[in-house]
Amino acid sequence: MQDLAMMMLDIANNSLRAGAKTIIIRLLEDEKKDRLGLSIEDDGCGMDEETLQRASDPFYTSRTTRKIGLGLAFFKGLSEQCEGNFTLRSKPGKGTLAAIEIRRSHWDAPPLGNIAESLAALIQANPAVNLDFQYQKNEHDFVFQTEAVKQILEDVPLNDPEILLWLKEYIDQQMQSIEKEGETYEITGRS
Amino acid sequence: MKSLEDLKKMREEAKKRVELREGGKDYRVVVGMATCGIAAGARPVLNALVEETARGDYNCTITQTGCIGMCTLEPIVEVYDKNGDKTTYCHVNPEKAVEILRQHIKKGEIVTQYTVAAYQK
Ligand SMILES: Nc1ncnc2c1ncn2[C@@H]1O[C@H](COP(=O)(O)OP(=O)(O)OP(=O)(O)O)[C@@H](O)[C@H]1O
Ligand SMILES: [Mg+2]
Repeated sequence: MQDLAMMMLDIANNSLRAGAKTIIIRLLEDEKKDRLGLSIEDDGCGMDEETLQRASDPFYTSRTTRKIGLGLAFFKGLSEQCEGNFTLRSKPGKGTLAAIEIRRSHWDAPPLGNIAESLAALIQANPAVNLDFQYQKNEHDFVFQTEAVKQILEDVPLNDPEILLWLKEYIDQQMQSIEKEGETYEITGRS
Repeated sequence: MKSLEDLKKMREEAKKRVELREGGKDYRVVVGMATCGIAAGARPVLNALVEETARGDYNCTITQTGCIGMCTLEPIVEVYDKNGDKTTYCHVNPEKAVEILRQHIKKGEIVTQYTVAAYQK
């Protein structure tokens, strides 16, 4: 998996498969502490204790098309590579939280990648699900919630191709401005 | 810079468009989006399909699915026609995805060279 955006999409796809109604995604960059965090939390079907223990094992999957499940194994592997930690918590009937926190400046730390395209893909997959995304870089943050978008759009579906493209571009612009502001902060913060 | 306010302005036009587009579609275009698909580049393929269908009027819906069971052939795009007959395309990239829309969905002609059947020959 080349970047964090792809991993985010992949892990959140587990949540969609678990029948989540709400998915909360937090992406956090802290340059002072040199940390990079990504967490995906859902209110889907959850896992029992035994499944939870095996979930990040590549030789476990509930898929029937193949015998390996790589999503969580990749996610966990990245945290091990980058002096980080991996959290997986789940309760049957309640939901699941999958998170990593890594050293941001680590040689193996992946780039963020195209977060906007991953969020658009998630909306496209199931527009009924409420996505609650927050990106925080240093002191600046950007929040994107599909619930707010739905209120504006009324009965226009979020997965209408033109709406979806607009949303992608909107998120992209906001992300970029935060990434830049975050840097500005870093410069002034030092002086 | 775009703001959510602008979205309000798009709403009325989008409503009309959605009403026009209502009704059954002849084709269903399905992208494999499991880890195997994503790692092989399925997301840009999905994005290209969405972009192209936003631009032109295509008689299809775009949906996503999990693992299709042919992980080494990902990204995979399946096209179902209205009779439920399926064509499976493999190693799809954004350019091929657009070609599939323009030829298969627009003209009803299968892009034979990109199909799994052609690949496995
Ligand atoms: N959010 C979740 N809610 C409920 N169960 C989950 C969740 N995430 C993972 N699981 C369980 O853990 C298993 C392993 O997940 P993982 O993402 O590693 O592989 P996979 O989704 O099965 O296959 P792949 O990701 O390779 O396409 C899943 O098959 C599922 O049973
Ligand atoms: Mg998975």
